[in-house]
Amino acid sequence: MRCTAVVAAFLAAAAAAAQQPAAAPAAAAPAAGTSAIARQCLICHGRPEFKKVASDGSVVPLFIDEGELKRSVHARWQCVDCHADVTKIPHPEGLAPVNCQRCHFTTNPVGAPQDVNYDAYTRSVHGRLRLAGNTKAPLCQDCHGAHLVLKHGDPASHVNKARVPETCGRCHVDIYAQYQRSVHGRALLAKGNLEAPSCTDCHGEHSIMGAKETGSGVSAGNIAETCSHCHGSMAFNTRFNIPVNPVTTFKHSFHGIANELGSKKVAQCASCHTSHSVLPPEDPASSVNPANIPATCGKAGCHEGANANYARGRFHIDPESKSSGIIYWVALFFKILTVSTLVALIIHILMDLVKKLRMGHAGGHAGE
Amino acid sequence: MTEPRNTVPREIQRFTANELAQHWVLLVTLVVLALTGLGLFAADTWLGRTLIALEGGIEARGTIHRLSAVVLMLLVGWHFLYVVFSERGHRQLMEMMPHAQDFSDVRSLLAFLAGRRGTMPEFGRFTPLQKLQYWGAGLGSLTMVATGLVLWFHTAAMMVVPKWVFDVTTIVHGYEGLILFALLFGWHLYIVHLSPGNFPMQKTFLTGRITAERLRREHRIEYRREFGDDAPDGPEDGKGEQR
Repeated sequence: MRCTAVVAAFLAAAAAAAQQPAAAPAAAAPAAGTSAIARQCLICHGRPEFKKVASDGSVVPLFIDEGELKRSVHARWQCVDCHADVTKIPHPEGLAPVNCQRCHFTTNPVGAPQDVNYDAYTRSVHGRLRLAGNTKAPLCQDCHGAHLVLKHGDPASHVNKARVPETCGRCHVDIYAQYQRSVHGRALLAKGNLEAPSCTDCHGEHSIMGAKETGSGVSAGNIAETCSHCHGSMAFNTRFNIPVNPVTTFKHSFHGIANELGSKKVAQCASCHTSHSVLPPEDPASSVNPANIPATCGKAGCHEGANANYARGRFHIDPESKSSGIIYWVALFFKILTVSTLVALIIHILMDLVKKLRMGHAGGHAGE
Repeated sequence: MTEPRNTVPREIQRFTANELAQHWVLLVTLVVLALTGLGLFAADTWLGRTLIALEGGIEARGTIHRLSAVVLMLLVGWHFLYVVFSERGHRQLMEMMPHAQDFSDVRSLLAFLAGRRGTMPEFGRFTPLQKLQYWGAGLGSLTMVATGLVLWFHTAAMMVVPKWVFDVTTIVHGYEGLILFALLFGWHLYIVHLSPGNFPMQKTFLTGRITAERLRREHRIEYRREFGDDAPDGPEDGKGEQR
């Protein structure tokens, strides 16, 4: 018993309707412009209450909003152009997932856009898992939308920058919740600031990799470069009240140097700032709020046992900048000391050299 | 007591095997520490990257640096015991003590080098510049060890000192290392080996011996104390090859 009696009743109705299209109930009658074949599908799928109960007890809605179909970039195509395994009505259960490559392949005759995205997808963590048989991994339609496919520039598109978090969040529920509370999520979702990063700005789109894979933009070796796309610019940082360049100061720190040279142990951006809960240090919930710094620095495998002393001082210090306080002055003192020592030593060496060479000329062989 | 000139040996044993061994350990550890340290100090330059690559990467670089530091600390401990508790060592330390005379000697020496003075000032067992090299290397090593320990055991150290003290320590360790590098591998190397008259190499650091001629020329007061005052000027007198 995989379906409820409700579904069985609809299937019976659909069977009847297929034989007698004219008998379709007025409430389900498609608007003008919907093809005859689509009209037949919508006899059942056009009803909001059309759903089934899957074997695990979950309710699966089977309603297709005709308005969405008409707004979709695929509005001119028939249902069966994509659902090619539907050859009769009522169709059997367990249809194959729609394969977008039916049209979206190089030199396709119908003019469907095709670039390298499909290749990138097959190499991505999503594509690899899906091709390995994991049906929880997304196909094209899981992100781009099945029946309402819109260009990504359309604010209503599932892959529009501001809607990407919601789209990814359908599977990545916890991360979506964290992101919404982060400075990035609040800026993009609540304030509508399109400068704030969406999921894909850091993780990539079709080529998305697992966070620990070397090809990932958010891997330990690449995250500083990824963050630098925005935070590498002081013009950008200043606008968002970030007083120092977090990227260059990181790169000059021991963490940054060791990270750049391939150490996997040292902290990178996300180690301290978190990946999806990034918040300014003033925020009490921020991982880099002074009150939370002992816990952040003291993570297992890092500086275990860190206490409040860890928060006494600045982070991301630039010894070249007066704003670094004592660190600037000590660095300046040592620069002057180093240079004056070098100058003194060189002067002595030159004086000694000149004297000895002169005396060597005057008095013959100077060696032992 | 003035001894007859013909009893002056050609060479005099100036340093003991123990002292030469200490110098060797210091030489090797400081070279390794300097190269591994410079790699990190200049990590954003071609030189730093090459050094780190030669040293086996960022992790291996640190391990080598700390291993050498342990050897250096053992040497510092050994040297401390030597100059405090052994009679010979203690005498050397006393000879190394700076005096007011050293400052006027340096002035005289510079005046001599500048040609404003005809003769080189007379020095004892250790010249003022040798004292400067000894104390520079010694006190330098001590501060490098102290600051280095803070950096090595940073997790524990930062439970005691604030973060900014750690940052200052990092800067001090880096720049002081650079200064010591210049002092020992620039200046000291020039004075003992590269200067005309010594080039390409003086053998004292290998044999512990110094020629009587050089002793007379460069450590006149010590020479006089050992062999009397009657040594006539040799052909190289007044060359002024101070060390």
